[in-house]
Amino acid sequence: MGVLKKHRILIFLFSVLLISCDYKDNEELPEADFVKYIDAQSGDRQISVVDVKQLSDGSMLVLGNIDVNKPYVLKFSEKGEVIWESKLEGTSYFRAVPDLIESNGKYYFTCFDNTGENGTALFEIGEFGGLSFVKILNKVTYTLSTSGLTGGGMLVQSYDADGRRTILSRYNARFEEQWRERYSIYEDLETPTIYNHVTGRTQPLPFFCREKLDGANPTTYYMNGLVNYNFAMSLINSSNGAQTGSVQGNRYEALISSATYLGNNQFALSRFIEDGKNYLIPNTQITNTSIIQGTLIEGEYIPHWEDRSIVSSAKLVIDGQDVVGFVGNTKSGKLELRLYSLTDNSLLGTTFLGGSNFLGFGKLFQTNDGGVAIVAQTAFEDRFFKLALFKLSPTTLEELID
Amino acid sequence: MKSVFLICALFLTSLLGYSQRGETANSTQWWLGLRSGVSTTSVNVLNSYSILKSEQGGGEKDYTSRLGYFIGVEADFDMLGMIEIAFLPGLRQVKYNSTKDYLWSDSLGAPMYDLNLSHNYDMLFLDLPLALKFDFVNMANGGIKIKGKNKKDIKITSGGGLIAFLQVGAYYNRLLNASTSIEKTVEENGKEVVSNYDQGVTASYLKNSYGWLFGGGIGYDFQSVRLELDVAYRKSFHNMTNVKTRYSENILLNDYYEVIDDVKFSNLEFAVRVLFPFKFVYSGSFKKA
Repeated sequence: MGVLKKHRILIFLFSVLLISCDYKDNEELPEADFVKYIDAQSGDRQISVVDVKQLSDGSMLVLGNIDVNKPYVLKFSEKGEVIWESKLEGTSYFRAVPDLIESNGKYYFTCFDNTGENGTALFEIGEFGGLSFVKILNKVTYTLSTSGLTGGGMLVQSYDADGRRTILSRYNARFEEQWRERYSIYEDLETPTIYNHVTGRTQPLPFFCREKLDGANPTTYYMNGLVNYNFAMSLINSSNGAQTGSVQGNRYEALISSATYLGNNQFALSRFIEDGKNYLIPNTQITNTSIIQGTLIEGEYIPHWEDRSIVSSAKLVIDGQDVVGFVGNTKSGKLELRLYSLTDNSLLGTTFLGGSNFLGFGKLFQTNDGGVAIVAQTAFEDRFFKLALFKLSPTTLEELID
Repeated sequence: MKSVFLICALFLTSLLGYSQRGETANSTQWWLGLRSGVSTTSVNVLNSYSILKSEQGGGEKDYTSRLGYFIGVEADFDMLGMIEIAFLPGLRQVKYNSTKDYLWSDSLGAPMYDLNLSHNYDMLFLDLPLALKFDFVNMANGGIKIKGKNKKDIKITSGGGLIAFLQVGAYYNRLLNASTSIEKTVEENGKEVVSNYDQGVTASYLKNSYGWLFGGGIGYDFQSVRLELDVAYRKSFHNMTNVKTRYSENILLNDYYEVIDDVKFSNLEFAVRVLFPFKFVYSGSFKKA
């Protein structure tokens, strides 16, 4: 005891050092940041992203195309581990169309049918990756976009080459057509515009058709596509397909490149103009009967983004704050996430994703744990066109907007 | 490193001088000196992480040890010549290599692209171990024997000669610096291209860590100086990786696909010690405590 007493200072100092160890709180949070490069295929098989949805268990479903035009579905865990992958080989069906369709808790996608009259085929994605043929959508050629509907069913936007029209069709939960509406373009855009878009020969055009979710029974849809000599975002009556309003483009060169409905007739938009410059509009009002020239909606010019960037946007909640996020390609081949306040449209924070490897289109969405994920096309080692998954935790996002 | 050697040399010289001054000794003794040597590092993976998997390869990393050095001072508090409390502060290198190989083939199975990433990790710690040393030769001899009742007659009958000891203890480490030197080798169509990149990774590991040590050694006590050779096995108590910063090194992650695993280190170290008695012992000056 005498020795202990004599050297109590030494023992005290050593005890302090032991207590100061930081290993005790060295625990990874489940929602922590991570990066994953997903490659379940041989090197020469290129994968592109069409759409991504997170499922209730946290896993993510990616719809894409492999080898340019073969539909490909991949499911990975919330930590980015591949659970299964499926692809439609052969020549009967080709090129999956955005978006992934969620109908009554099941997931579907459409692709081009090469077996009959070049129509559109609908496939169901099974729980374990099986891809089951559902039906051919009659008289739907050149499918441009789809989306699932609340309460089941889907919307399908397509191009009618014979009539030089855009067609929007609504299907019920049994995928029976309820109505179809035709929107005249008045000029032939089959070649090269539509043909190049569906074959991937040029940068894809931002076609989409979605419901304005203001409650259980949305009364309006919004559709970005070809109408009346220009590329416009149309507001459409959900009961009969009648066009009630429009955000007009300037011919096919200046147009809306992404839209997220925020509620109460507010939209987050991105657009590009004739020379390709990109503008972001975090929050603007568009009513069901608005007739607006899109180029007149003020937005923030993003000079470092690639001309005519393919943009993904999403409404996010970060640290209790309503935020809108935009992801777009930079001229240096990166992806940038930009976060804006929904209260005053101010820029809250930005971050660049990835390293020196090329990153293409990235799909942004909020994850179940309050973070965000971006699933992007990448070319790691500058040669393998695969998928990249970037996960940002709620803590990282809070620091980003702080 | 040169300055460390210089400080140690000065310290050693001062001890030599002090030990000659003929201080009065007790039945306890302080030994002060220098300890230096080499250590190997084996990496025990607790959880493996991978951000990229190729069709072939890209699974768990292969770890190999690299030789690190350590140098420091030693202060031993000797109780009756049998048990010593040893404090061994110093600087310690931990070095290891991790390697991962990726291979991409085309749809027909022909190799397209072979990527090998080799990371040499260099870490420098402030090392503060505290150990108990059991001198079992002296124990067998009964430790220091004090003979004589009067101050003038007291004689020490052991405390010199051959030493053989076991030691057990714990250490505290403070990480001062960590870096990785990456060698990226790409083989494509028979052509091999090698590139290098260095990156600091101090934030990727815990600043404070601790573990235990166990070992033994032999030596010879020349009364005024003691030479010892020892071997010790050290193992960290906990995960050394800072999991909160695992995905924070952007270039390391996205260009070199490196995410640091959860690891514990085990070290096997070989050391030489030179120790001097702080209280010079001679029979005529022994003072019973």
